[in-house]
Parts: sequence; structure tokens; C-alpha cells
Amino acid sequence: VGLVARHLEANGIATVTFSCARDITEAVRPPRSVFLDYPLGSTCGRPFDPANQRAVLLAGLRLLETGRTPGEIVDLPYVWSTDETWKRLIFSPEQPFLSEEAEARRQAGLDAAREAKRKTKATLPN
Amino acid sequence: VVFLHDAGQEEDLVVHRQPEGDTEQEQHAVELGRTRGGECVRRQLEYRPSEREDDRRGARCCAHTEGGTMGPPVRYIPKTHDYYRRSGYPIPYKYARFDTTPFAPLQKPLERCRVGLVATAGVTLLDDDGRPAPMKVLGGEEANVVQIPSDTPVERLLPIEEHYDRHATTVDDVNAFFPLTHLQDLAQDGTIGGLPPRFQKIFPNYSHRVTMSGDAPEVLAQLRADQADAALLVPV
Repeated sequence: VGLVARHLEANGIATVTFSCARDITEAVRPPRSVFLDYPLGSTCGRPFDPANQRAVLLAGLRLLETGRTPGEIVDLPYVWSTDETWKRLIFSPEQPFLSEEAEARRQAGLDAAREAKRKTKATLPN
Repeated sequence: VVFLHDAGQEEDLVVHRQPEGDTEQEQHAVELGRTRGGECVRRQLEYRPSEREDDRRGARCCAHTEGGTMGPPVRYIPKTHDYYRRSGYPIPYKYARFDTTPFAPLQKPLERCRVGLVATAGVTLLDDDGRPAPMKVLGGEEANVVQIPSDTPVERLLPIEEHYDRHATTVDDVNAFFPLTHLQDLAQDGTIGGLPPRFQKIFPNYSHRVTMSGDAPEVLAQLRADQADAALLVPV
């Protein structure tokens, strides 16, 4: 999404990008970002914690309004858990990122994408 | 508050936050933002990181915050490279990397801005009977942009996301990665000016070229057609 943010911004639409992957954000340099040190999948706050989600969203909107520094990354102060084992285990050999079924679907998706290239765009179910 | 952490061995990426207001480009950005008044004129600004030594300051330390201590963030680029190499993909994925950043300061107060949402969220729309409804895929030859009406009740979105840390968190709460209800509330209470009629869901694409030639122009066209002033970008 960082690439899309850059394209929108280059065409006059102000953006803020939410991120749980700080190193990728540092590389892509979207115009404005808020970094939340949570696991992938909870980019906009802790599940079933609407107050936290709203706070994350408001931080992004504040940056949108007040940001004057291209490429700025604001680090949010929220802590996922005192136990940070999840950071060590993500993308580790002992803990496959995708389930076997999801991995199979990913492969099928890649194949389908190649196939779709040759076909005309149509209305498709998700 | 901005914290810096160990930037590791990638020499080209040490500065996380550019110094404020002390470059020509920055000054220019601030001036543009002020002199145009309420008029909605936007300019693209290109920021070039300075080579100056003090811009490269502060490469280590962790954030200490209320409620606990954070260790350094996960470095996903080396982690995923290792992970996929072990899984039999010898060529590492090339993450996009830029030295400059386009910048268009917001031209009016938030409470007068129409704010869009562009996300990679794996969600599918349900019909009145709770069955997956057809979703319209728009864009050119290679684009995959799905529109989701911004007034959709969150209960109508079924999470089908798979590319998340399933061991650490859950995607059962759509608002944690597609903040639909919160944006509806913020538009309702006047924090933001309003929502465009549709939000965009894009698919994570391994090809930068496809993203830039397909998805990005389609998203831009939709936001322009809907007269959006700003957009929130949310990856999973």
C-alpha cells in the first residue's frame, strides 16, 4: 500500500499509512506513517478493543492534519504484550506463517493470477 | 513522540524522522500550506534526504512507554528473506525502496475533509441472507481494485484474511484491520468532514509494476471521482 500512498500523494491526495512493519515502511517511505508495534493483522489496533482502535485511528488522522515532514513515521506507544515471543517466532522455521491450506491457496492464487492475465477483466466474486 | 531504534546494517536507512523545518523543501511545504488559505490547492513536493551528518543521528535505543517496555520492532525484510529461502525460493523478494517522498500537505481542516480508506483487508461482502455477495473488480488489464460501500455495516463484512500472524492475533474483529465502524463514527461526530461513497480493497501484489500501472491509478481515479481529500492506507 505504500506504493499506492505515494502515487495518491504525488497526485495531490494527502495520505497516512498505517504500519505494523517498521522496516518495510522505512524502505518504502510513504508520505506519512504511524507505526504500531503489533502483530501483522492488527494494523489498526487490538482486536475487540474499540478504544485502542479509535486511538490508533485518531493518531493517524492527527498526523494527516499536522504532518509537515515528508516520510515521517510516528511511533505509537501501545504495547501488544510484555511477552515478546511473538516477535521471535514470526517467520521462523518452527512456526509456519501460513497454514498448509492457506499456503496451497496462495500457490493457487499465483497460478490463477498468471491465468487471469490472459483473460479480460470481469465482475468476479471475491 | 518519536522513538528511534537500532537501524541495523542497512546503511541507506538510518534516519526515521527527518529534521523539522530546516530544509529548503520543508520550508517550501510549510509556506504552501499556509499561503493558500482555505483554498484547496495542492502541490507535489519532493523531499530529498540531506547528506548532513546530524541527519544520521540517533540510530539506537528502544521505546519505553507507559504500560510496558517495547523491544525493537520485528525486522520483516531479513526475516522473510530467510523464511522463503528456506522454503525453496532462492531469489529474495525485492522490497520497494525509495530515497525521496512525494508530499501534499492537507489543504483544509480535517473536519472539512472527505477521508477515504484503501486497504488490503481480506474481507468479503455478505448479502441480506449472509451469503458472499459478488464484489465488483475494477481497473485496467491487471488491476484488482474492489469497492466496498462506505456505509456497509461491519457485520456485513466477513473476515477471510490469511496473511496475518495467526499465532499471535486474530482477524475476527474486522475493525482492527479495516476501521469501518470508527470511520463511520468519526464522520458522524464531525471529526472528519465525511466519507466518500466507497472504500477500496486492493490485493497485495508481488509485482511493483502491476501495483503502479494497475491498482494505483485505479484507486486514484476512484478517489478523485468521489472528491476525496485524503486517504488512509491500511495493509495487513
